Amino acid sequence: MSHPTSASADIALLLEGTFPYVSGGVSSWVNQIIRAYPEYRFALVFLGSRRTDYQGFRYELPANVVHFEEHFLHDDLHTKESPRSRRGDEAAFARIERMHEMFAPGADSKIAMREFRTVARDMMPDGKLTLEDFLHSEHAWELICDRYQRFCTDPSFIDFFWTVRIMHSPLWKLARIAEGLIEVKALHTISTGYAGFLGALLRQSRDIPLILSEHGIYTKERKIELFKSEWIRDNRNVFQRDPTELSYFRQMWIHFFEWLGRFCYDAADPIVALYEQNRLRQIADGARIERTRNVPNGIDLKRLAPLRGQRPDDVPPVLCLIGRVVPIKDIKTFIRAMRRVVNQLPEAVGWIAGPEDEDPAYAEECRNLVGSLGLEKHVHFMGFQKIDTLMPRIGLTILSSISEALPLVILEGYAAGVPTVSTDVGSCRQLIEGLDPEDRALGQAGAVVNIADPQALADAAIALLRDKARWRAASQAGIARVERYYTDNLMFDHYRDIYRTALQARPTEAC
Amino acid sequence: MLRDVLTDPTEDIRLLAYGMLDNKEKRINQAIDEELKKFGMADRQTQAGQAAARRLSDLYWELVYQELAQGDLRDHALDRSRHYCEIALEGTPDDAALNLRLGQLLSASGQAEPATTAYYKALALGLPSTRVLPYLAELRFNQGKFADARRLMNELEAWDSLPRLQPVIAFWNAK
Repeated sequence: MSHPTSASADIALLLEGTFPYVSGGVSSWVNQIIRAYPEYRFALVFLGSRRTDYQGFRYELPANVVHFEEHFLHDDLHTKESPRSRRGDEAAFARIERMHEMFAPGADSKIAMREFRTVARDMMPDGKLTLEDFLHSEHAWELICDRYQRFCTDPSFIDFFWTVRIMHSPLWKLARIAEGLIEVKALHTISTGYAGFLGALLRQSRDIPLILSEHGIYTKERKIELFKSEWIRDNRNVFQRDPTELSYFRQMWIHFFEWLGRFCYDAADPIVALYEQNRLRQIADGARIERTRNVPNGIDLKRLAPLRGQRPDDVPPVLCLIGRVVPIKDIKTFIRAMRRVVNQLPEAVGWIAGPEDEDPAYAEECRNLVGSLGLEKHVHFMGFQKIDTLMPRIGLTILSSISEALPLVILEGYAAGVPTVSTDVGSCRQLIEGLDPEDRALGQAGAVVNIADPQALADAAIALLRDKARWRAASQAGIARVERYYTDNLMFDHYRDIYRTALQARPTEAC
Repeated sequence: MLRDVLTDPTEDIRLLAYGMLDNKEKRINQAIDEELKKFGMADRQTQAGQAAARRLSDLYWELVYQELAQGDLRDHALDRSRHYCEIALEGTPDDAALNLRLGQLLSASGQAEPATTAYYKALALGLPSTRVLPYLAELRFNQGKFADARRLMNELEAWDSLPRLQPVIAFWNAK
């Protein structure tokens, strides 16, 4: 497939594992933002894990995307030249050692950040710290051995050695991407993590402004993956293991992403959160308070409001989870809840409307669970569905996620007159019950339940589906709330200001 | 305890508890999926079919025993465990351990009398009292028959039972 290329653009969007390859809330948002500003020329930099993990674009690139490039961080991590004996740069490795000492809890994080900035500069092509030295030099070996002996609580040196390598190698690739990127006037990263690291490198090396918009909190989402992942080895035996202590490798990954996040917060201004709780979390994770602000998501009312007229008179006994079939959505809790819903309302069905290709193993587990709970006739996997055809046919939108930010599907449901039952994550309580007294006075647009509690989720859904008056009141509350607080026009106004300010910034101001 | 932590105000803690619970449950469910496939492929009277049924009964019971399934899901797991336990009993009606399992399942579903019968059958088939009587005592306790529970615990005193049970036996035997 040929992609647009250009020698320059206004804004570079740094996209890690999202638009245009993956569909979902963040991707829809990116699509919305690009299309809202036809006056700006966008360059897209997509960062993925491995090329084989992505099949084709899920979105058509808008006409104002003048440049697209993609990079896969875990492909081709080896160096171009064959390994040979090398000592490595003494000063550069001494700095790495100092930086890691300063990363320890309680050390001065300002000094650590200063060291981090210098190390990042050294990692750029032509810098003193090359990938070849990291992979093959004596200094690197000595540093790894030393840190293993001093800190590693897991007995396996081999696992430690490879964890260090796999974790850090993509950073050199990002440095090369930073070096090669076309000329742009401003940078906009949609997460911290690797994309945020790239943004901060570019901010530092080119002296152009970096905008950070975080939907979820990247560091937090990585933690969830890491807590759940079984591929991280834990070689401690029964005597070495303290059940309250995470495996050392898990901790290493968590600290790694925490520091990538801090590096990005240090470089970005403004730092945008979707809602208050996340803004506070950013501050707790190292963002400077005066740089942070909230800009909630908004949806296109004009498109969705007419769907209300297409609804049947009776509430369809259809519970619909709209979202990717991935562990963070905790689809299994929804499936389990359906066991009780069907016990109580035999005519009810559960729809799972979302792509299953992102984590095929998890999708398989979900299908098996449907089988082992005997729900084959009541729970259907629909694949990706258009909101417009889905909304008039369902009774409730369901979110069983263990983590969310400000999910668009709740707002889209409201606009189409569909209330929601959601877990108490991210901004969901705020969306369902309202934030300030004026908002709360609009009423409850559904129900909020604890995470991983299928029984409570089922009971809340049953209560709404069985009581028509209650359902109607929730539907009205949702409509009123989305119309007043969550339209796309409000959001576009905020970002118009943000982009204008960034593009007008002179180099000295950007610092 | 992990389940209580799911509502902890700190998100990291909630997520850690969720991850731990999820991993436990995932392991059991994966094993269930594998055994279901084996069971589906084998004739239920064959050795392979019987072995799969027995494993399935164990695994569904594990979901209940480890409190990984609650409410309707617990009922479902109990129902499945019993279904496969009965299939296994068709092949080996005089298997003492299977009769004990049947007793536990019936007891957990509130069917006291059939549970009692199954427990006594397990005893008659040679299971030591220390493995059966605590469950029988629990059943009597849940029925509100405290004198019977005490009598059963007294019987246990005569046995060298598991050290873990000793404090319970001592409590019930206190004069």
